[in-house]
Amino acid sequence: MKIAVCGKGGSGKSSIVTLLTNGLRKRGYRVLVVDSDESNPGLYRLLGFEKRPTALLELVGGKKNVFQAFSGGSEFPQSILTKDDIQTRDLPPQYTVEKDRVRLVCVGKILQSLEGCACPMGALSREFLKRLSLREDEVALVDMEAGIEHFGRGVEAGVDSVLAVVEPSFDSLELAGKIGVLATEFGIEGAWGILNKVTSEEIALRLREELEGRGVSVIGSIGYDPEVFQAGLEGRPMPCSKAEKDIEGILERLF
Amino acid sequence: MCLATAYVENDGQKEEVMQDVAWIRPESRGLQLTTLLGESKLFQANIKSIDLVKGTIVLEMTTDPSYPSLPER
Repeated sequence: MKIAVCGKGGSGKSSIVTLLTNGLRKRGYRVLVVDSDESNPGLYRLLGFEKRPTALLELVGGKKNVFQAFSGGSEFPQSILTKDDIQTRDLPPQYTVEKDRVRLVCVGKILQSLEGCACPMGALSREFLKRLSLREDEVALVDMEAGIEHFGRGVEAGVDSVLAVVEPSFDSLELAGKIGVLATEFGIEGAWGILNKVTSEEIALRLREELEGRGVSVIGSIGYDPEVFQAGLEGRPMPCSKAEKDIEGILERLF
Repeated sequence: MCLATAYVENDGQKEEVMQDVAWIRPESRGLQLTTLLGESKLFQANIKSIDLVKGTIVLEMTTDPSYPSLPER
């Protein structure tokens, strides 16, 4: 199963991806985490890795190198990305970091001002996910860029499910409603909302009603967790916390 | 999107021929279109239009004798 985790900036997508990863790993799954956010730098830290892997964009020469290759008339580098069926074991070691049945790949990051837009990263994410072939004990979790531009780029063409992370804010609710509509347009049947940073039962109930009023079913709720907040503030790996217990209910419904 | 979808127009009908086109290079035998992933195709064609907002390239095939015939595949 390939699951895209979407939502408003700051809603907690990377934290939810990390919680899902840790929960799936404990259930015996192998997890491929796809960092498809071209801006935020720190998913690897949350997952407990010491460094980010080389970006997949480098498999096609990187933005700068590919342009140079083209203008110089030299050959384009061929790579696993041109295969119709990519298995996780095909990924060259320098393009992944791996620990405890969890692998992280990174599509690409914006590194310099005026380097151009992120469209190549979006196209690469889409093609990689479309061609990615998983075994039964493997799950791919995609940490999407904030917002909904990835739908315009068609990244969701390669996923089975979409989770919209919702924090207690009106904009977050509005965006999740839009994500539900866009996922339906893609023909994705598994689209749900995950409530995050929920401070009370009353807030959870209100968010649930608001989301369902926008046509999005809620698959679970993660309470506000000071330990997660503190780890995020300090750039530390996701701690063992009560949020881990909350994610269990979501995993029960997903798998 | 910045990467374009290429179409060939024939008798007013547009047929999609390539997605994610990142580069177009004029060659002596036609136009070489290359995708982000490095897949290339040569078209014995002229560009009819490019829409940079919609990300579309429309080609029209040519029988211009100045284009040498393409080798058989």
